[in-house]
Amino acid sequence: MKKSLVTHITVMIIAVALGSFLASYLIAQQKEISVNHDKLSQAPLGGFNKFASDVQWMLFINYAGGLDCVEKAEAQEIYKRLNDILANDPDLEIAYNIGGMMISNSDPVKSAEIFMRGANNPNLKNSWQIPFAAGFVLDRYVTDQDDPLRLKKAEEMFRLAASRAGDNAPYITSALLKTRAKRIAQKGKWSNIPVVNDEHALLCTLFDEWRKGGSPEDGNPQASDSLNILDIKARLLKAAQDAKASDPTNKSILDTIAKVMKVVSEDQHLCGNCLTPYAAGDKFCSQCGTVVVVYSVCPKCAAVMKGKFCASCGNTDKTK
Amino acid sequence: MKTINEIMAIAGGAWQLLRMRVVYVLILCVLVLIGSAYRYDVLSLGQHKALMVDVSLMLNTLAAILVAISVTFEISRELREGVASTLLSKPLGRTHYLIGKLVGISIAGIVITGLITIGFCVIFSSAFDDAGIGQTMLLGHLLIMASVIPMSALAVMFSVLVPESISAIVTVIVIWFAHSTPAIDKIKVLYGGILPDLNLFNLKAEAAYNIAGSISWTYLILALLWGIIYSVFATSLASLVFGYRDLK
Repeated sequence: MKKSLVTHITVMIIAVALGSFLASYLIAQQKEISVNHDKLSQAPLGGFNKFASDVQWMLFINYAGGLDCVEKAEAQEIYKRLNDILANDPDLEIAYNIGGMMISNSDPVKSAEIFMRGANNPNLKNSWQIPFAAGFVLDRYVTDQDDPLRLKKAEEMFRLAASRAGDNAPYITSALLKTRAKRIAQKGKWSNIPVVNDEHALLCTLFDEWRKGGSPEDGNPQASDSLNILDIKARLLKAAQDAKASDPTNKSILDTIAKVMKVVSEDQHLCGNCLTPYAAGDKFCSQCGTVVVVYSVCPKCAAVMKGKFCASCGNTDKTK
Repeated sequence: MKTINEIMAIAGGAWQLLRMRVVYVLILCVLVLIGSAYRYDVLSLGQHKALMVDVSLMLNTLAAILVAISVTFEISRELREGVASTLLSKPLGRTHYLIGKLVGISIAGIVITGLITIGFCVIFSSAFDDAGIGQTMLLGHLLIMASVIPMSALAVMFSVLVPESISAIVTVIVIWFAHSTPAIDKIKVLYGGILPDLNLFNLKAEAAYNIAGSISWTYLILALLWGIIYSVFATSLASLVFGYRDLK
């Protein structure tokens, strides 16, 4: 019996040591596999957290279906239910999308919080809709009183959405640029130039983006951060026109336009009044009728020079 | 070889479970329930695919728990009716008796959970033409099949350690809390060694969403190994106590 006791105790000690060692290794592995392991509810659900979340989700749909409108009280209840669902299953993408959107009007701060939680979930890294919705709510519904950093957060969310959506969603890029413009307008200054209005701020934003263009191989370290907007030059021109139209005599706007056009449209001839491009030989702007500086015409016969020599008289000189 | 034959002879008694028709009727009911998840497309707003996987994992776990606790009734009954003392009057060690019960019920549990897994695969493949059975989904089920071994060991241990009237209840409570480790993870003393951590077999969410590459075969093998090591501990402890017990 004594021998048996020693054998049993030895076997138990070895098994406990091995079991503890292996369990600690497996727990570490499990945390790598289940990235939201630590965020799961602490309630003793016997490992049926996902099933509990499924049941709560269907009850939530049942509850939501009975609502006529979502006021503050309903928003609180929805938020509570969403928290319970997401505590048991942080990967339920539809709960972020539907739940967050349901309370976006009546409680935008909590709505944004739900969306941001989903956007930062590594298991939902392929979803661009959640960060886009987060940015949208922060930009449109949350106020500066609610969260002074809302625009910064919205920009981060739109950037995340843009990086996940690839080239498929130009409206994400537009939303991101508008949010950045709002931030610049909020700061009131861009490159030591006072920012006057939203149109001016958008021009500054687009110019910042244009400067990020190219690729890191081209020697531009900011290129990796670029949104790669294909028609950025046309957008810049449009933004410059809008900015000028918003306040044609404002010195800050004119300074910015000059700064932008000097770099961006160096090879283009633009009307000094409305910034519309004009062709060689034009004397007036086709858009606003303003007299423009004529270029590429033969000083001898006034024909448009198409090459080195005038096709009408053979002259080689031309107006700049 | 003689020892293995003795153990397998005892294990054969535990396989009686597989000869009961009611077990197959229950498996059929489980499969009907799994299939019914397909009709929850509207109520779950299109989440019925993940729901079906999750329901199958949940029912498979419940089946594993039920099979495991059935051994507590069986050992208690054999001890009460004197069947155990008859068996042990033959040249058969008490440890062999417990190991035989553990092996028998583990095999029965693996067969039952395996049948549910196969049934799930057939139902899922026919319900969703566009989605095949993913590796993560399958590994989630295999983990549950592997969890039968430590659960059975716990059942064998409690059927010897605690009185007959409460052994099944104690087993269920321990299995339940061993699956709920986040709730008790502050208890760090030899976690996974003395205290069972059945949550190691629980990757239901990953399996339900079939998150590619999340569960590996290595993880499954190591979890199975942990289950066997823990079973060795639990059976040794049970055998130690059983050795000092007076039998009818």
